[in-house]
Amino acid sequence: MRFHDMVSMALLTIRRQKTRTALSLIGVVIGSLMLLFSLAARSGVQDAVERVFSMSDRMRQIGVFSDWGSDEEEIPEEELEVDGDLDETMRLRIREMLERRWKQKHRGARVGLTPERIEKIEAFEHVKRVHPRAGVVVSLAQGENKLQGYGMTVAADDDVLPERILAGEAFGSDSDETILLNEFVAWSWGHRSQAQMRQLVGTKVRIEYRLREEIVANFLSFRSGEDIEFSADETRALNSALDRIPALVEQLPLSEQERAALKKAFPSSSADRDQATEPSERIITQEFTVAGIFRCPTEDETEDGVRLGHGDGFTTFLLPIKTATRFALRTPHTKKEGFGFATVLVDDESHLKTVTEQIREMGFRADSLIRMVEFIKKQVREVTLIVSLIAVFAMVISALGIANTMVMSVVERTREIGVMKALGAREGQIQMLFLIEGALIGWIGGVCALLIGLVIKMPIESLTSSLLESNLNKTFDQEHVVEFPLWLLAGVLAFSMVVTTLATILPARRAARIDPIAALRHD
Amino acid sequence: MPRDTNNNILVKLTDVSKSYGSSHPAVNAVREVSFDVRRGERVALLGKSGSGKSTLLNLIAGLDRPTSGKICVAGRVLSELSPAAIADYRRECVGMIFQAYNLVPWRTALQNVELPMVFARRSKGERDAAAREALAAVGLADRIGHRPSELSGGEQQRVAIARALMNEPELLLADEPTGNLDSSTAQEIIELLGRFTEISQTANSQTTTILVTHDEELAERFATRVLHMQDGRLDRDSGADDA
Repeated sequence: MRFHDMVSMALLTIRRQKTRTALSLIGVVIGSLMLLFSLAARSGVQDAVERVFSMSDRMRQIGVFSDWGSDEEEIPEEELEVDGDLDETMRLRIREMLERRWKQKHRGARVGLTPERIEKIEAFEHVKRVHPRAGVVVSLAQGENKLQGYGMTVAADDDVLPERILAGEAFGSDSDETILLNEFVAWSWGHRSQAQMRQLVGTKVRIEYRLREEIVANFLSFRSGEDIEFSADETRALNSALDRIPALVEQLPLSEQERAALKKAFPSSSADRDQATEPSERIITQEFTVAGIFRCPTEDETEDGVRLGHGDGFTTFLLPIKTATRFALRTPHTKKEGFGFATVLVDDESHLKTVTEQIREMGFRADSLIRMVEFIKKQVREVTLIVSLIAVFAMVISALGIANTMVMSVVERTREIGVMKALGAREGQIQMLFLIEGALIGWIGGVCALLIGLVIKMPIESLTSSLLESNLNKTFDQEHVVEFPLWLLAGVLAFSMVVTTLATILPARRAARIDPIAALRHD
Repeated sequence: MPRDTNNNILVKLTDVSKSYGSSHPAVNAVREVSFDVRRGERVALLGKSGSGKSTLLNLIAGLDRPTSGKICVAGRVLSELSPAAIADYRRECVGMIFQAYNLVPWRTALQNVELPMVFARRSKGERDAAAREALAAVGLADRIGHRPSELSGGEQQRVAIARALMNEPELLLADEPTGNLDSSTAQEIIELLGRFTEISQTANSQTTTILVTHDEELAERFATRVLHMQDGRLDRDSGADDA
């Protein structure tokens, strides 16, 4: 019996049993559709998540934080001993806390992002750029105009920056001796129109950073427990008064212990050094040319995460990375301790892990968004796995239905099977006829599911996109969240055929083994 | 393939018995039957209902296996054939006609007739032409698209005859072919069978026919040899010497 004869005979049977075939097909179509969309959404949603995080280089960034080194001493076991009538999990939690506290107490020297270490990181393979984050509060001055404010660094090729420029232009390079002023600065200095603001471009602005002064003022404000605001003059007076303490400590009516503590806090060498320097020398200042005026982020941009960095929205000025680094390194603290935080940009996401490990080996804490992306992707995988399992379950149920239908069909067609055997059909041919019938039901069901899938793809995609948009704060313009790659279409079709064919194996065997004499007597 | 050759003898039964049921006493449908059928012979198996004639026909058709004894057809020892070889034997060597016609109800007359050729892997064009010719030969050229339910009993049996002859079988087995028909239609069917047998003799293909019937007159009219069956035994063999 030829294969195409078997197919046409099976098709004839399917056509003859329209209602039964339709009922069998419903199960196959539902199962195939669920499988199709769960797998289509899986890859599509994962891609979409990646695309969202790939924007603005965020997927290729590693956040590097200064950390305390470890002296690598082994913790004495008695330090980690947890006694008491505790359950095991509580004992473990307390032990971990003891371990953390011991490490904090016995921590080594601080590992800061010094220029040397930054250079070392820059020299790593696949590192494209190291961006030390030196967010500082300084005074901006131009003639009589002064304004205290927070400043940030930004890369010359930052893709968000050009959208924010209102006048002038972005930095030409990371080493330009130029500054970008926030529109607020211009407004504060009396430039009340865009045209007036444009006049600032090309002029000079001075940045002043006063050593320790703000820190002392902030500390005293914190110590008082109240939110005291010191003016610039008061801050200077406070520092000047504190500078005199070493000289006065012996004359104060204090106990020996109090005196010793004060001497420790205000060593005379520091006082001498500070006394030796004129107030003007304790101010780090530099002049920059205004390259342009930029605006704050809009509400939508903030919500969508399209920003220049942490502190965007508060920043009053921007400096190029290298220029800002040079300026920050003039401050004694940064010069000695290095930067507290930097972002490292790698050339490709695939190298994030290697570079992160290299940085960690240097004693820094390092983290990237890849963990979060992996977590989200894992969640997507788990959800789609559950949906896929439900789809497979639906297919198995429909397969059982098909098996039942086929058993009924064999019973009904017993006489026909007997006739076929009497006419010389082999058992294998009878078996194959039923298997092909099962496979055809799977094929028809699969094709119907694919066609329905293509029709309802758009509304499903729109639903999935809106869910993703609300969860990820991102719009998916012209992007496919539900993808139907060729392998998926072929796979779903093949799967439905395999399931329905498997469901037919037992009924087909039963049909093949029917006794022809009994079959010919069957009513 | 096991073969027992004797050129002139097409069917040879040796001590063939068939009993049913595992409980005691078993039903002995056929008991130690032995006879030969020569090529081209027209044999009638005559007997009352329950005499074992249909069982014997099914054994010769390879639809059933004997409990003991040996059946040899066209050199094939049936009890030694595999299920696949038995199927091939039925397809290549045997044409069967049943009392209940046994047409597939949802297939047209043409589709029913071409069925043996489907199993014989013949092309669509070849089987279509042969089936049309066979249906024309039985006088149903104008009923090819009709389903069995749209045909009379006589017409259905004609379709069954056309189907049985499709693969030009050496052995034509007819089990009470007129059992469901009125006498005039039965007469037509027997004449048709006789005519085909004669044609085959002329064409030198020498189709051998074994007809099962309980109608003595019909047996006498059709057969050149009548085998009388009673209680599963071959009671009398009349006309063997004449044939």
